[in-house]
Amino acid sequence: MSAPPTARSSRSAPSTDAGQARRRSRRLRGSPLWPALFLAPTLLILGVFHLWPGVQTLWYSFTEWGAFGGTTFTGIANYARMLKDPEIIRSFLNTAVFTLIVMISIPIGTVLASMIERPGMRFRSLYRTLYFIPFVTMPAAVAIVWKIIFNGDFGVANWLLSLIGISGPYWLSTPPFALIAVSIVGMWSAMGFNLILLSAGVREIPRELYEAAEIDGASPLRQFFSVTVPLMTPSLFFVTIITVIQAFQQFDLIFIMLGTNNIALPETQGLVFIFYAQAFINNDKGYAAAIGILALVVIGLLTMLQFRLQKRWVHYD
Amino acid sequence: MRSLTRRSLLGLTTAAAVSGLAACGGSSSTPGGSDTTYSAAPEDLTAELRYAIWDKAQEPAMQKIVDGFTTKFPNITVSIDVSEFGSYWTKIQTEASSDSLPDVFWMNPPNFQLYAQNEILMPLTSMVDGGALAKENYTPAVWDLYRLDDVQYGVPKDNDAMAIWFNKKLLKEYGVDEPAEGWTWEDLRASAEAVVSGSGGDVYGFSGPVNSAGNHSWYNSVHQAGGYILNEDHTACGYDQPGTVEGVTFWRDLLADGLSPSIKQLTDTSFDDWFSSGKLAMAAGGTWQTQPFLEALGDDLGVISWAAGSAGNQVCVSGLSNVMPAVSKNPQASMAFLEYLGGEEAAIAQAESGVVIPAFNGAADPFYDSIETLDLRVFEDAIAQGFSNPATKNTKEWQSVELEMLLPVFTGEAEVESTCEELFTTINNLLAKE
Amino acid sequence: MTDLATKPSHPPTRRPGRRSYGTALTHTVLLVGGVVMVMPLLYQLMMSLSSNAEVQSVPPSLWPERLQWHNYADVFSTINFGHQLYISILITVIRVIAQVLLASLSGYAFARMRFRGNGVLLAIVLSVMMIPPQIYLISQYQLIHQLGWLNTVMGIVTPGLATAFGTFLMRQFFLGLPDELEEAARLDGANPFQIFSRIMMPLARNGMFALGIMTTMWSWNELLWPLVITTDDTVRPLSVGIANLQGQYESEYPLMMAASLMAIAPILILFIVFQKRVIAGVARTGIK
Repeated sequence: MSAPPTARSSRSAPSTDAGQARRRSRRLRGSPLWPALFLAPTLLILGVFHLWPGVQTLWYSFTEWGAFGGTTFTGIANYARMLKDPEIIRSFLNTAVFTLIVMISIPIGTVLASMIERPGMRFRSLYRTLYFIPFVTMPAAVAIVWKIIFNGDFGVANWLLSLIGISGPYWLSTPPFALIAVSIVGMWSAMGFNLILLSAGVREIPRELYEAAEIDGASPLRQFFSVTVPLMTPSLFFVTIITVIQAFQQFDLIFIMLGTNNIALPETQGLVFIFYAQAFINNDKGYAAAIGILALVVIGLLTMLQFRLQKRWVHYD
Repeated sequence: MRSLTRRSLLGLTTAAAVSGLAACGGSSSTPGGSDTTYSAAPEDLTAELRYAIWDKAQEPAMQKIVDGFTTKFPNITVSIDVSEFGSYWTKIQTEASSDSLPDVFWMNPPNFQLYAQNEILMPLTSMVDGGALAKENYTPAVWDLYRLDDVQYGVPKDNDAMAIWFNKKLLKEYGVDEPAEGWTWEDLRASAEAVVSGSGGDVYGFSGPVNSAGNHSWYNSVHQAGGYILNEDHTACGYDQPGTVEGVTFWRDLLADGLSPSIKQLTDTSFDDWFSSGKLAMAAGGTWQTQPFLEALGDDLGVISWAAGSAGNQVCVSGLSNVMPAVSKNPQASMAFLEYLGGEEAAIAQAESGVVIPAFNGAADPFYDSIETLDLRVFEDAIAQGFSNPATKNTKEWQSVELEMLLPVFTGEAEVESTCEELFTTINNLLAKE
Repeated sequence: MTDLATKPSHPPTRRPGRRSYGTALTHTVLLVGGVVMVMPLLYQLMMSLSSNAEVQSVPPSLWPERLQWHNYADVFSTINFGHQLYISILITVIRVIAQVLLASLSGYAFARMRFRGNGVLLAIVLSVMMIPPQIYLISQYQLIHQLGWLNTVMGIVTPGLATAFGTFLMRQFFLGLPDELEEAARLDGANPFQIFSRIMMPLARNGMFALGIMTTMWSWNELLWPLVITTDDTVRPLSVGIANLQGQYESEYPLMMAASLMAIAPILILFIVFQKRVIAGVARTGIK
């Protein structure tokens, strides 16, 4: 079932999405059977076990869903209620703050990755091991360690602050410190994951460019901004997309570090946390489904926005 | 590619068909029917049962009970499914949504009415009628907790009662006499103050789980001051009663005067941790803490009845029950197991484990006598004169509002009286909606 | 970017003209940062060897007076560690093999094949990535229940045999590979599957390795799904065992720390051994 050869220019096109599309468009279409075969297993699993339950949740969001099933159609009542719910509006702000703090790991990660992966760097294995460890750890276990670190009475955080004469707060039950503490942990976890991707991006940069810059007499700092950063924009873009999606879906950290009876919750909880509380504590699953769909829509819009904006700052060349 | 879309559509439709029932949402639970009435099980009855519980500390006792049951019914196997408390309820809820509940599982008062109301639980009327379940065998408070509209749904398992634990070593260190039966709120406060001043604030005097569980903390003092949380027929709450306000104030003052760790400190480190690690002299707790506290403090642990307020020292009495789902794959075997769980053998096995007090009358002695250094009989008195744990059809809903509004009172950010007034209207509105 | 299917690794020579104080500064920054990154884990290790009183002492005790190795022994007596480890390994291996295979196939199709609906299907796949997994837990559970797969390894692994993330990652990877080899094979009359299996798969080794590592991490640590779907110890993975332990011994900090460390140890070792491959693998994946 092979496709006949096509005439192609021997010029190697830039490897961008647009370039790829152009290149592919010159290819004659093969049989529809092949893409179907290649895609079927994945689409089947995603369709049946993820997309379909997602569609069901969308349906539930327009219903009054009993504690254990049994749905009554209520139209947009859940959504109308949501827009009037101050908790929801507040949780947006919380999620935004959390996401922004977690995103600090991206510039820091870029600097660190460029240091670690610099040609001729010694102790590279040691540094990689140190920096990637958070990526390997079990989030639930680590959240407990952080919970102890931030303990107001015997935590290391306040002990360190006391050494410089500051009396630290009860981090996990005092707004806004609770949100800051959770965000710091989020940033720390994201750092491990992002560094892996960013280090890989740095390794992709051809050495000749640095050598050329060096001959031009560019300082290391100058090289970082004029060679490393522009050439890493595609990986920065990918990392940003994933970081934002995961930050907006954050649930476990708050759940473990703050628990469900915490005075700081209103100023800390994110959308997915409210979803959980509504679904499994208040048994209001229809309303919870609407909150879940809202979270999905927000994440979707943000991702679309990032795809739109990428043209302005991402260089594929 | 048309064929591709058709293919994927086909996949999706198959999936839809597979989950067709689920898509309509809702469990078509129709309790009753001839197969769900009690009849004495034959000895050769064959079944595989799943028994879900949430307390690992009780697993050995439960295993012992299962062993006793399977000697009677050799062809029935029972596997025990232990989850920790939080995930237990997430799981039970998920299972209830698709009729895949365990054959027998534990139920607690705050959740009971919700599940019974939604016809998730099997009514045990036929067991009562068949003589397999008799009201007079159990503590009345626990029996009544698992009735809804005059139908019994739960087989009483154990009794929870409250008392005050104290650390003998700490009291001695700061020259405070050990509390004696008949002590009052004033005595309690005086002892707590002496510990705090004696230790220069390093050790707290008295605390409880005010940041999480009212029935383990302020519900007790509310009744001790003559107030109540819910009225007899659960149509209104008691937050307009002077006694109720007084009971809340008692705790607010303890916190405000620094006799207890603050709400923030209790959030970081739970009150039982404060007590176990020797930084708290007295703790409001209950039966379920006997073993963990004993492990932490050994011979330094003491226990005493609650201090009395102006209206006495009655405490909240509660208890768990064993229930089975309305949609049961093994109704006969599950009922046989429930019958055994509600019997004396199972009760004695629980008592001997020294972990809980069985709800079966007269079987609790092994528990009371299980630890030589502790006078666990204080719980017996507490159960005899306690009040029942307040529960309604959606207990969790009003209790979460109640806690949310009282926390600022305990942190000192809100006034007791105005908050109680506000609570009175809010909770009554919620109760009216039920 | 120029196509570099196989990159020469950098020779470890020191670059000329680098002033040594700059290097020293770099090392200082990296070391201090690295210690900060790894501190929670070290702290966890220390707590796992302390007594409970030491964990809660003020000021924090930075080293236990006597190493409490028994905490590790206690883990074995409280959870069925060996069996849970076996289940964790089993479900992780199944998912890694399935995901790498399925994501390579679908990623390749999205990146290299032209068919109607490509864009729409890709958008759908990406939208799946954005659904917070908690929100369809109950629906997903009902589905597995309908299929009769509750409390089975099959039930645990099936929803995760293919993921949107994996497909997206592999698509990006294949987009970055050169066209020429495929063209040549096509001229020789190879069908798409032969091209994929003989030519593209070997080239995609790195990407597959990266996806394998990420799938391992995710599968090993996943908690909510296996917790809800398993009903007895015979199919419980370590993540669930640890969570149950935490619920039960909430204030037994040393025991919990020891248990969680034991749970991540296999992955940690795997990672340290393979770290060079991990980085090389991730290079040129979600990137270009």
